[in-house]
Amino acid sequence: MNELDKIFKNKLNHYSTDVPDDIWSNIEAKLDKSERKIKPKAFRISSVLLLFITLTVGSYFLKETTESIRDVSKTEQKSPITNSENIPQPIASLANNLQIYTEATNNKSVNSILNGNSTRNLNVDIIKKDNSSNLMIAKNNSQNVQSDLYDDELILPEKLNSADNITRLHLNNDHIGTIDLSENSNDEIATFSTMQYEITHVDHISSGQISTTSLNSLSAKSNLTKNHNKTEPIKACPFNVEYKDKSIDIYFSSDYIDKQLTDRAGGAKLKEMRIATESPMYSFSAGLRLGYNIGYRWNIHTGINYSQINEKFKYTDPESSKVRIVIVKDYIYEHGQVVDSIVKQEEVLVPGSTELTIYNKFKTIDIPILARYTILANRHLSLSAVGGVFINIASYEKGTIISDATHKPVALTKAGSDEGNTVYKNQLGMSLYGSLSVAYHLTENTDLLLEPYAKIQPQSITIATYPLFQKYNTYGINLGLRYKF
Amino acid sequence: MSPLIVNGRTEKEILKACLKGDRQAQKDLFYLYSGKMMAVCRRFARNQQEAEDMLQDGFIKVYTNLQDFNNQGSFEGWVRRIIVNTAIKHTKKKSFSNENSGLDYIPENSIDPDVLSALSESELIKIISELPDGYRAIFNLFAIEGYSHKEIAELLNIEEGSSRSQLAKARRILQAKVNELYTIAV
Repeated sequence: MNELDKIFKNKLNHYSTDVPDDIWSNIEAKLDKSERKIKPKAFRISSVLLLFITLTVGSYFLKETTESIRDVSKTEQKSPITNSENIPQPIASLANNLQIYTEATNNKSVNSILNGNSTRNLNVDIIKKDNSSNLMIAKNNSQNVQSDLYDDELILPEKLNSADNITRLHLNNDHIGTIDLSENSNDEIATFSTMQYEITHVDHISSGQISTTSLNSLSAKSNLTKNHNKTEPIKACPFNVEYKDKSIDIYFSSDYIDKQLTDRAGGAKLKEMRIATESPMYSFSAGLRLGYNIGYRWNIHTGINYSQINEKFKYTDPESSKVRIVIVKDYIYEHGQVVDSIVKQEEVLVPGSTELTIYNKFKTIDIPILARYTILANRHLSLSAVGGVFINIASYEKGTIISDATHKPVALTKAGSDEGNTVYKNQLGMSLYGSLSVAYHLTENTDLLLEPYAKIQPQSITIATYPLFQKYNTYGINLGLRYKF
Repeated sequence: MSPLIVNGRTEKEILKACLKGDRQAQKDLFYLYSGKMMAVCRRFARNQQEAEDMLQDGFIKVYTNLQDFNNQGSFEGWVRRIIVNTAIKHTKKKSFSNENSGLDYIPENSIDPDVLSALSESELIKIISELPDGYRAIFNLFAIEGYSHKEIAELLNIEEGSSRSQLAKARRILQAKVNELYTIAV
């Protein structure tokens, strides 16, 4: 370092100069923006994680279902045997399209066989019935199909002639089961139980294999001990352990709010000021909803939902200023060398120091009307698509907003009030709701729910005279419990 | 030296509050150091507007990286490094290695220290800001900020030799300008 460098260093190293007032305002605006960006980023990360979890669970379901279908499809290669003559009467109807037939031997009654008496020979067949009530597939009665009834299970012959015949049924007194014939659209999943015996799983369908896990649930019941043709429609998710057509959900969600402001008429400046002064804070929603099973895989839900959107309103009065005290150290130079320093107190005039910070709250109460379709399920989990509407029945706003008339802070008020600024409608109308719902079956009656959702407001929530359109789109993840009864 | 106190809060207390997002503390921090940092930016920038942009971007980085300050050294020094790096990035788009001022053959005359002492800080800043971009950055980094040629070479992605030669050229230009100013003044 030469002499010139030293002189420059001594003169300029601790030199301080004036700073234009608007630099802090620009920094503050950028900081506000970057703070706002943090939440969407966090939300994006959690959404990606959730999507990953949903896809993983979905693939698991899909794999299991596909394997079952693949196994069953092997049986489609065979020609079904149709035999409309000498068909035994069904002892029980399992569903609209499936019936179970039995023939007792040794002159034992059906009831005595099914009640587990000593009879060991039993002809059992499964017959599928098409929509016109004609039998499509029947067991060939000419064959002497033998079945063995042990203490708690009924074992049918390894292989029957019909492609759709179920060759082995395990029965016991404690479980309820299903038979899955899902090789084509007419083959719904039939489920049934009996006072004495309940089918728990099927080992084989002809030459194919069906995993027992896909068959261990039930939705409809029929009593094998009654020899009648009573049919009962299959309802609900077929994978429930026991058919229950009513449910109650309770849930909570941390929400990300996407606020949309658009200029309706000359509101550009107001929009700019509102964006600068309002920033999102933690928001949430919670609710209670009742569900009813209306058909196979279909449920409807309704109840009540409470949502609270929180925002921070921060306004700096540009005309205000404040004197702030700063203690500084000054250096004294002689011939370019620091010879002394003085610590002194200085007063600095800071412009725009008067700040107003208000925490705004937007509370809404809605009635959800939702339909739920069970896409995939097994005995542990189920995945459903949920869609519908939220109808707003009440809304309440509290806080401060930039006035559309004066562009100064003013209290939010409801229509009809003399003071403040009325911005929002009393009734916010209807929102569209969509979600993917994963239910983990904790117990026979209780599910744990994880439901990522989106709630979109199709119309503006501001009154007609307000210069801006405003919508709140909400994205969240409901975490809740479902109790079935 | 007395601790810096702003509105009853020490620097450490202000920093803690800044980390919690306290806007008033961020403002206090800005007004505490912005004067000195503006002077740094003025030296690195070609004009006032560029200096303001550097200061603004530099302070945003200070706030967003505040959690990385480990309280080991001087906070002012940490802020200053961020400001200097920001200033360098602003001018880095230019090539530092191939600048030619056209003043390569100015003889390196000695300057009377009294002449330089007679010049105000703003006059010195003005003559620095008139240097070509690369010369200005290298002179600021070496002479005032105390960086070595090796550090400058790494920072600006140039050869050490290039840093040395450009510094020499910068000095010659500055001497010429100081002499010119002194001549006019007297």
